[in-house]
Amino acid sequence: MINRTAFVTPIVLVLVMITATMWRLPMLPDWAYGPNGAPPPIRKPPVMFVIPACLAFVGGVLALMKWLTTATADAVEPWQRWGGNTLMAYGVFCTLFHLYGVARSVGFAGPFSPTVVTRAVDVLAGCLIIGVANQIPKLPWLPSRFRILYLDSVRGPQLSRFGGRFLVLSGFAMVIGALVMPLRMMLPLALSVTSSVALAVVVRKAQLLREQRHERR
Amino acid sequence: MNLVFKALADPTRRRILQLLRERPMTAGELAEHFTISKPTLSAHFAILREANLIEPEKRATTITYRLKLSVLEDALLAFADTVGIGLAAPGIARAAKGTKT
Repeated sequence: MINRTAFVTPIVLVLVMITATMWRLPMLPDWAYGPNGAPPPIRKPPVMFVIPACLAFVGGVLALMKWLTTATADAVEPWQRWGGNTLMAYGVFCTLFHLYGVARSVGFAGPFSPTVVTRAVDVLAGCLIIGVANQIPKLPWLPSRFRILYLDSVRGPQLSRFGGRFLVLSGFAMVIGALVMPLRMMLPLALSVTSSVALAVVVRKAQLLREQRHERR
Repeated sequence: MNLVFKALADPTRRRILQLLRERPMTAGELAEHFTISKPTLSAHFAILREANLIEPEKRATTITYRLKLSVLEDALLAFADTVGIGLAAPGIARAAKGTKT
């Protein structure tokens, strides 16, 4: 569900991140701490590949979405625009965060403390989720290649609205959490919010599919 | 954003959006819910289209409208409805009373 430019950009960004990681890894025994003595942002080598992997995963999912639908090119166009913008914004966000982690690990510290930067990143992540999810109900509902998962043009948009609302709420939860909660609580918050959104959408979709099947009988 | 506020400020247009929330409808189906004239209703559709809140889809001679509200626009619609924005203006209040809800 993304065009060629939007597909190539994250690949370049992933390569930039992996190059930075590979450059940093041989120096791992010499972890440099921030000037305020804060712990290093990245403690184990595999963790340094998590952010590029996340970006590659999101890019892969967005690219696969086009294969999952049988819609015409015209209907897919708004999705392509949305997918492209989402991937670009997410890619730039991931790359900057990753490069900050690498830079800090070799002793470059910006004017702000790591705590402030981490909170700002979490707020930004929440805003990104809000911005991306806000547009989901505006997109046209596309027919699925798999009939078993297909929701009609009445129930499909209902699911979009439901999912969009939940995701926007989760974005707000992230922003509020980043501003008021202890930083160690942010990962559990993000994971619990994401899994509850996914669960709620799956349950709602099952409900709608059942409703649709009953109506057709 | 101004266009969105303008579109949501009118109770008739908000009612159109609420009807479309149930399912996509043709202009004729929507008109059945209102006593106002068709040209007036068309003007409301035009304002909603301009604000990118609905999307028309032409099939043969009928136009089907589909809702195109973002989450925040949806929240704004709910807020405008709760507060009753636009109902105080006498002209608009008359139009709102004219709807067969």
